[in-house]
Amino acid sequence: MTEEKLEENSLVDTNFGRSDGSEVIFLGITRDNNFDRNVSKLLYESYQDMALLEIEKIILQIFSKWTISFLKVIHRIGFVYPSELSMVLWVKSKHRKESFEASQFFVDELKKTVPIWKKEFFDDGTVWINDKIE
Amino acid sequence: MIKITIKLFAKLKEDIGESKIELMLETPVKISTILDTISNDFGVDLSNRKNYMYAKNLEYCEQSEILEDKDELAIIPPVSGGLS
Repeated sequence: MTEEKLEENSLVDTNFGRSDGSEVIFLGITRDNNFDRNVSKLLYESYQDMALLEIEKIILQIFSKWTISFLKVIHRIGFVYPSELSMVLWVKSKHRKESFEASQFFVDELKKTVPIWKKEFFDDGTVWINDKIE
Repeated sequence: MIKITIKLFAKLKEDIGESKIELMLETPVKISTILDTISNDFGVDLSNRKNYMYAKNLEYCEQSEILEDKDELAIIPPVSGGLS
């Protein structure tokens, strides 16, 4: 996890293994709109010690379900602005099927279990995503 | 006496105004009892936050879990990492 801005020109990793036939890079890009409202910025907060453990569990699941040679993820915390990267995920495998599927799985599972929270700032207010009092 | 640390995040942290609460208690206690204490002491009704999760010492658990000396409880609002 990092509070530093992720620079697009440093994302491509050409350190391929000789048996790697596929590298999937997923870029999570901050949009300037949500719920038909203009987003001025996001704030990501995390329970970092537990977040890293939960991310590790997801990665272990991925390595047990697919034949992957490499996986790396960086998630921003702190303020992130529209068009900036919130998250980058790299997955390498011999064939494209595994890296596509593993990438999808990681992004889906992160949103379920990893203690990271996102607050959106609009022109007319703020909201912590998914937090509704029933 | 036992000491329990409670970590708060996101909307709940804002509502209560604290990121961490430390409690000194006579005996080990269930998480559900701690939630009642927090609700009473800080005027926040946690009973209507049914989609919240709980973690004891960095592991998800149920409200029936017992907290003992030096345990850390995290009250975890619905997570929203990654992108929509």
